[in-house]
Amino acid sequence: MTSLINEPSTDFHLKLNEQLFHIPYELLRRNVKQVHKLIEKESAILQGLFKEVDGLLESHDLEQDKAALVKLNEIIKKVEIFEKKINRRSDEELKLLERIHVRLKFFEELEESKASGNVSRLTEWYQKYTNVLIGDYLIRNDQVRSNAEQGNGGGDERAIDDKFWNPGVIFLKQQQLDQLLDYDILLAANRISKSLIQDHDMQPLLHWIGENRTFLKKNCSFLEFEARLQEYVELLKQRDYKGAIRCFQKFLLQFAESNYADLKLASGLLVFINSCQPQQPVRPIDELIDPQIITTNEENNCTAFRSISQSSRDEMYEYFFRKKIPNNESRFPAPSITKVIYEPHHRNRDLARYTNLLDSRRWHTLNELFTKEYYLMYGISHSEPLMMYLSLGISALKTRECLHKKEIPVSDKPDLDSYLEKDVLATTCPVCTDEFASIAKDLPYAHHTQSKLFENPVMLPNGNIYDAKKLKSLATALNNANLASLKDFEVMDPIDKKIYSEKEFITMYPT
Amino acid sequence: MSTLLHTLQTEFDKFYDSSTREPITKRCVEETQTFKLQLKKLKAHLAKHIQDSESLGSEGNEIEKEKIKRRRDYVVDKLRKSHKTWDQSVKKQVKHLSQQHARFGKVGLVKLFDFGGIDNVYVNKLPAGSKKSVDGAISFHISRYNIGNLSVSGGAEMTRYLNEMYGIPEKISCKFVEMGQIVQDLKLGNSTSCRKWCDEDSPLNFELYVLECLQLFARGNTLETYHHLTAKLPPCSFHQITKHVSPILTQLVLGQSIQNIDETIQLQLQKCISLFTKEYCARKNLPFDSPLFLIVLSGVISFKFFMKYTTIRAVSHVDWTTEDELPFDVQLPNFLCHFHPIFICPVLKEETTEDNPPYSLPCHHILSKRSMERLSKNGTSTFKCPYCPVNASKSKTRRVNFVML
Ligand SMILES: [Zn+2]
Ligand SMILES: [Zn+2]
Repeated sequence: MTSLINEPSTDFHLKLNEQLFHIPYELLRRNVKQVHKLIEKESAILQGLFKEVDGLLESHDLEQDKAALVKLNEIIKKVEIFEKKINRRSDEELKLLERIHVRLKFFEELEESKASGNVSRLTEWYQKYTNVLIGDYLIRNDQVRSNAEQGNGGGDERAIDDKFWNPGVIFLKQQQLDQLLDYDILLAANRISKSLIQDHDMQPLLHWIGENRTFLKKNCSFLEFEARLQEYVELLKQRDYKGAIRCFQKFLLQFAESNYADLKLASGLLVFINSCQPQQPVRPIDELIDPQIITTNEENNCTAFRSISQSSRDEMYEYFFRKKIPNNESRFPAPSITKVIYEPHHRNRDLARYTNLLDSRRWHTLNELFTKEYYLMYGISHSEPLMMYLSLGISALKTRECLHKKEIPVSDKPDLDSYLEKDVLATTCPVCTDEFASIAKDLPYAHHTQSKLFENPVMLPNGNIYDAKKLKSLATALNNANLASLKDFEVMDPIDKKIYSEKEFITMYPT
Repeated sequence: MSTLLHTLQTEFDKFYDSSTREPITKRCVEETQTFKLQLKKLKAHLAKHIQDSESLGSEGNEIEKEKIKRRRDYVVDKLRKSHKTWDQSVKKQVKHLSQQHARFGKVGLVKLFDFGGIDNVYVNKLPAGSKKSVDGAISFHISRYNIGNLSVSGGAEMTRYLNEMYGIPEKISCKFVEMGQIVQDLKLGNSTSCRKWCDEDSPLNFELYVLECLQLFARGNTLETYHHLTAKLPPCSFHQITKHVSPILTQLVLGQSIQNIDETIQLQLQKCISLFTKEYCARKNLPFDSPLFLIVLSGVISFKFFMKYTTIRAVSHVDWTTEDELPFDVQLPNFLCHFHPIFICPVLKEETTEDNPPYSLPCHHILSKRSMERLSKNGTSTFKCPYCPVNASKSKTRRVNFVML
């Protein structure tokens, strides 16, 4: 197994990127299942219809024949509809197969590059690989923008993809690498995340949960519970008690065994909200804080809550856990004000837990839980692969000399100084660039077992060791640029700018 | 060489029908279409039969009645057969497809599930605020590699597009705008701007010349091509003339066409673009490979080492991330190691640093300071150089400094 630059084998790369094949494979399987269902259903229907036609024709009666003709028409129509449906499925399959095909070709190119011994060709492949990683990073981290001004007049196929575009997708398309990433999966996750965090809309998430219930159950996931709980809390915030109770009984009760404590808290929340009086006047709300935090009446505070007798709270639990919804308008009159503000000096433990439930940050935690399950289901890593490679790469490249700003004495010739600093001494080390220096600070250094120096190491009287050949060519360059006038056997030390003779070179033997 | 790839490819090919290279579900579609057409035909027959029966009434003779009956029987029989064929066929296709799916999964895909969780390798997480820096690096990377692929033209337009689409600040994109415009021109078949930009003695001149010859050839104007071939030849080696120019000239004179000329032009175009980009970056003192790319490449190369070590660490419950140095040598290729000088002291096998710099002995062999102090027992005694039999003492050593030019 050859490797040109000590890169891993093709098999290793395949395993590293197994989701590139796993995802379209899963989608293909789902597609086939749909086709299977479609065929079974259609076959059964047609069996029935054909039997009828058969029966009608059996009697050799002209009137029956006419009825058979009508039935036959019906059959043809059904077959046409079926044909359309299965054609769509077939197109979908073709699309997915094409994806796998392009990806197989991509890895074949890797294999061939390695075999060809051509380092340029191999690095070009890695450039493509890097660009796919960048596309993935951009898609995950950027907003989903809606197709408002997308005017590049793409064809029909692109129209569906472009309905929700984002820079990552555009980048991949411009680089012609869009078949190498299942970005529609990432975009779908983005959309749901956006609906949770920005719009506080539970519907897309609930829809996704509905479609993937089997997986979530297999993983013993709490996602559905947390989502319904949040739905319940939102209804309470809007003082929609009827809706809240309906939600509780329909969706939350089923978790009574596994999440009893949470349900108790949830039901208590209803009592709590109801016990609160709207405060006048409403304090000005900081934009950044969720305005829907609860307050209690100044005088009542904790005592008001505690004053709700134990019996009435028991009633509440009974109400939630056993009885159906009676007419409850009298019990919970909807107040006029929906926003209230919290006085932060209560130390009642229950109050703290209730305010936790009402905090809008719960939308973020819910989103975190969702993305974890989503990525797990598709076998995608939770952190962006690009970040991972960067972390690994920086450590592999970071030397002890990195991030050290060398002290360079200034001479009286600024042109010379600037030339030496920028063109001669400046390092091209990627870790030492501005962007990566700050990140690299806390990452571990690389470990080296062998020296990596230059040829012809010679030491000048000032203790600096250089490549002799490069010193001499630097001297020529300085002369040509009129930055110095060195004689034939003279060189200039680029750091202290002093002139030395070649006779002063001392050959060193570091290895 | 990669058996895994080969297996995947073989199993994947089975998703297509071997004769038509169409996906298997397409067969279902075709069968359904055939079925539909048959039904329509039979419907027409039946309708005709009804029509004929009605017009014939009871007056028809035996022969005609017999003919009508036979046709009817044919319709009834064919209906049953068509239906059965279609039903069996589509079900068979789907079954076959499902089986092939299962096979692909079992024989091919499952072998890819070798790594536990790649997330485990990501031990040294980048700090929270680093996304901003990463975005900056990406901005540079996109400017460097994508500026030739934009759909807009003109320097100002490109800058604006990059800013709006990718959030790239102008001070980064402006470094590559000129390059982007020239590359765009080249892709559109116009090499004037590139010629103007490039140095007289650059090898790019020859490559552009070859490109232009090929493009003129493809356009079919023999005279113009000939003129260009002969009159516009830039200084180049004899070898280059025989290898690249003569074949074109020969084909032109013989009136033949060049095989795969489009592909050849594409390759030559890529060559010119690549050479131009190199010269552009050199002239503007910009890195040819973006830092982001070099780091990712290093990350890929080092991956298997991290992976191996993560597994070892997990088994032995040793936490190695507390040290400030990786516990393994990644062995990057040379072109990734020439950024800084690295000296490993032969005595203590450690890398020299600011705090532990290299020291030269009077015999001009080099050690780390710590080694030197240890060997000299903190300057109190003389010691022998580990390389050669020369004696040295601390006072005879001096600190040295490797500088990479
Ligand atoms: Zn560095
Ligand atoms: Zn020695």
